[in-house]
Amino acid sequence: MEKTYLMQVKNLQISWHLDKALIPIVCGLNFSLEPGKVLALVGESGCGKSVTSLSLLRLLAKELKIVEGEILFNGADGDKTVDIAKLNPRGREIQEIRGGMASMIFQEPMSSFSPLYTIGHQIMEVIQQHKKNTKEEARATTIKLLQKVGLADPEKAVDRFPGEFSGGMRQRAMIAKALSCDPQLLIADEPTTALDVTIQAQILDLMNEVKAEFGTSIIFISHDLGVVGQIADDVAIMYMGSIVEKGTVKEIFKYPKHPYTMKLLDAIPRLGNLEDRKRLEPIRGSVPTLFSRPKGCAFHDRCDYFMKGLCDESFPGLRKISEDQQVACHLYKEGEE
Amino acid sequence: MSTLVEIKNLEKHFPVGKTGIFGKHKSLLKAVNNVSFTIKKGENLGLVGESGSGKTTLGRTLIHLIEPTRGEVLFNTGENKIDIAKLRRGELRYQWRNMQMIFQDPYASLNQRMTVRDIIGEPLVANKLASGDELNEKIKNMAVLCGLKTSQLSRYPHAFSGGQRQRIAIARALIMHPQFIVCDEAVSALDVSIQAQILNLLKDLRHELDLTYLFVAHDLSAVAYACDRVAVMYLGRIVEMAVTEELYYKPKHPYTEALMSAIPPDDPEVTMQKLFVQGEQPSPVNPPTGCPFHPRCKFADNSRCVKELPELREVSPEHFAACHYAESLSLKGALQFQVKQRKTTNNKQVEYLNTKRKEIMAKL
Repeated sequence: MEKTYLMQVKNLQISWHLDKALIPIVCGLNFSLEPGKVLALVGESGCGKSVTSLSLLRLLAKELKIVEGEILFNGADGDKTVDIAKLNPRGREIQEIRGGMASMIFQEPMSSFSPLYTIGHQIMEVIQQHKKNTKEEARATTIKLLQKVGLADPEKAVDRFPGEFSGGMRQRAMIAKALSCDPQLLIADEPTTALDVTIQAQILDLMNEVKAEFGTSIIFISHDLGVVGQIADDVAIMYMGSIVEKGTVKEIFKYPKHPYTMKLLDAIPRLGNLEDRKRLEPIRGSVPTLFSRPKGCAFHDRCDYFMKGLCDESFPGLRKISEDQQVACHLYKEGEE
Repeated sequence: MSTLVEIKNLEKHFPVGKTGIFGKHKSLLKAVNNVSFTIKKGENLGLVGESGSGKTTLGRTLIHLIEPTRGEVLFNTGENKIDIAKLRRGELRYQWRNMQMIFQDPYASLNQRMTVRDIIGEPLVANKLASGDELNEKIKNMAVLCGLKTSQLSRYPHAFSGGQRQRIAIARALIMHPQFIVCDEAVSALDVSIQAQILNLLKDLRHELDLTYLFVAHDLSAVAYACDRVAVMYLGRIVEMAVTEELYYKPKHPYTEALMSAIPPDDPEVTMQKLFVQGEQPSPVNPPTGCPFHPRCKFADNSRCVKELPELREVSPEHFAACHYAESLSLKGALQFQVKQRKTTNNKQVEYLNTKRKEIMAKL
């Protein structure tokens, strides 16, 4: 039996239109998300993870365009599959999906709420837009949601302004807003990055509860591997706009295969062995700019296993090396570990 | 080890909430509240805490970038002790040669209109310490020491990535050969791979140039890696201070334990335990009575913790904690929440990949 997917992204390519030049930002992404699962996109800044997440709901800025590829979304009524990449970004259809069947949590809760309207107003707005609810019904739902996400005193919180909330409370309200129309897909773009560790742990807890209770599928964007390990089922590591390694969270963390993933995991300071605090092992060099993308494998000039004539010539595609692990590196052959 | 900086009862208050045009300020935000500690020569002291705990303000007040409200900061120059907190502008400028700061955001801390050479050399020029060839020579040496290429010196900051910009900022801070550096979240804005480079660089420079750091950060893992001792701040006060291993593995304050429980484990198969703390840090304008942590503390009682402010005291040698029950509580350390994990990549895998690489190369 073929697996059912909630979302399937095929050969997604996004470019930045700069005067007359086209700068590739995302180059041929393929991934799919099963219902009820959490997929994490991990990478350093500038690797295209945020752009990818925005493109999934067609929220890209004008200069960024989807050049090629499909974003198949199975969340609509019945078995209808919608290709989000083909929709008009301002059209009716995408607006029904956006906020309704799929919604988004952003990094900075401060800047994603309007300071001029109450929290309640901004959540009710979404509910009224997508469901034919009266104002009273929407308000009741909002209070229920706020309670669910753990805001103290939800009856009063509804009428508060975002400025009166702390960062953690705002992020909770944001999750309430995202959940307001029972979405099947939640896209979380660095939802805990701006928060303190203790608040981060609380929000992670909440997201795990949401996942268990509503069966929501989550696409989780983050650069923090520790956080990802706590929430994701599958992980895709991105570098310079393409996925270099993909697999279950266990495979990626315990048996990383791509030289970049290996290096990335080694660069994290760990608490387990403080006694021998030696030097960390950084990845040498820095991420190339978008204007100077290396030929072939984008990682080749920082890689310890660089093979001249191969890595700097041809781009390694993702190859499947085991049931649940794929890697894009010339060191590996299809089907061989 | 001798003491380099001795901080005594340092306080910094910010007035908030004005009433009317001529009205008085309604209340005081005590960002740094009666803080006393010492920094030893040659050590790297970490300062951690959540946002709003006052760690940045403490770092800045310490070198008098912000005027302290009261208290003393005694800086040991070798010959005599100078109270930085009382210095006037001119004397302060002179003393700043000995203490410099590295800021968090290298995109904001470097002047876009100056070349890297001018940025790094600016402190020497401003203090009239060098000019001409001598200046150029000093700039070059420092740039190389910080991992920059001399060929890059005439470029502007926008041509550099975040990690390299931070190197420029470090070179600027070190050009006058100060003794004491305040690193205010110096690696927080960087990616993991770059963060590791900068942490290594700071470590090397410390040994090479005989520096002392105050390392302000919120990333507990980075602090654990970089620092010899760590102080934990909560609502403007230091609640615990000890040698890194002690603090992380055998904390004596419930707040430190809570912080340790909040770090995601290295191993994804270990589920995070239920957080040891509820709610959020209260507003520093209106801190709770008694122990500032008591509303969130699971060990708090209704009498002593609510009424009486616990002083920071030495619980065991070199281990300070501000908790009434520090001795009697048995708290969990980072190791109980974390798994002791080896490096992810092992030599076998590296070897295997290297042989594979050779095989493929031979075929080419």
